[in-house]
Amino acid sequence: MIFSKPSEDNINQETIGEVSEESLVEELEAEQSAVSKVKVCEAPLRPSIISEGFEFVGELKAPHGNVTIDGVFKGTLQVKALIIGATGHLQGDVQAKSITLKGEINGAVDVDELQVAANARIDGKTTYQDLTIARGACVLGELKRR
Amino acid sequence: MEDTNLYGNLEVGEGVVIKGDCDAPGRVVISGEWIGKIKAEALEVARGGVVDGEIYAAQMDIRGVLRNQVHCSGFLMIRQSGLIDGQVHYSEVEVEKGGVMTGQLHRTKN
Repeated sequence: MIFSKPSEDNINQETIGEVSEESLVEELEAEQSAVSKVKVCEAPLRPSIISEGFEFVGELKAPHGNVTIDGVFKGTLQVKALIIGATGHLQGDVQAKSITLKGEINGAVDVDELQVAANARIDGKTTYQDLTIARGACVLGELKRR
Repeated sequence: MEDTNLYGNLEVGEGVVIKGDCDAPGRVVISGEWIGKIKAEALEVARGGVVDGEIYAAQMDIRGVLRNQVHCSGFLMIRQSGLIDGQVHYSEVEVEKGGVMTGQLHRTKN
């Protein structure tokens, strides 16, 4: 086995390291569509990714971590920085410091900084501190400012 | 004062408080305070301006405060200093960073 230093540009490269284990575990669990809990990630390293085509059902807690959702997430999410890609769909409750939304959110959102891109959609009860919405976005439901 | 009053337009200056209904075929610019109903083609609320009531417009550019019932059949733009509170109906919306939008939002597709 060759141990190589994880490089900055190869985020998806499967190297042996403490972070890849987390994302590997997540991808496996997401693939099986099982209800599961993920360990709390303390190290602010590479994002955990729920890729397109994967469905995650359950509770995800990463209060110091980053999560990127390109697939389907159903459940509760507690994260520091969340990016929902154009193909991403989140159904449930989210609590985050920052959310960049290019896909869809259905549910209760509690965030410090919310950025909604064009073609994105957010539906439900949203509580925010800072809000940016691009033209073309679809924002529905209740908005509240902390 | 320069006579720039074009047909269909209404401008409420800073410090002016109006209570009533308005139906303007053109552009309405509020720098003061308006309590009541406004129906316009384009509505601009300047920074420091306050509109409280039933507001209908095709285009909205908000730098001040807009309260109550807001119906924008076209493009609703909330600037950095803008604040909207209430029942908001829009077709397209954009919120600049710093802008505040609270209440219930509804989207009408035109």
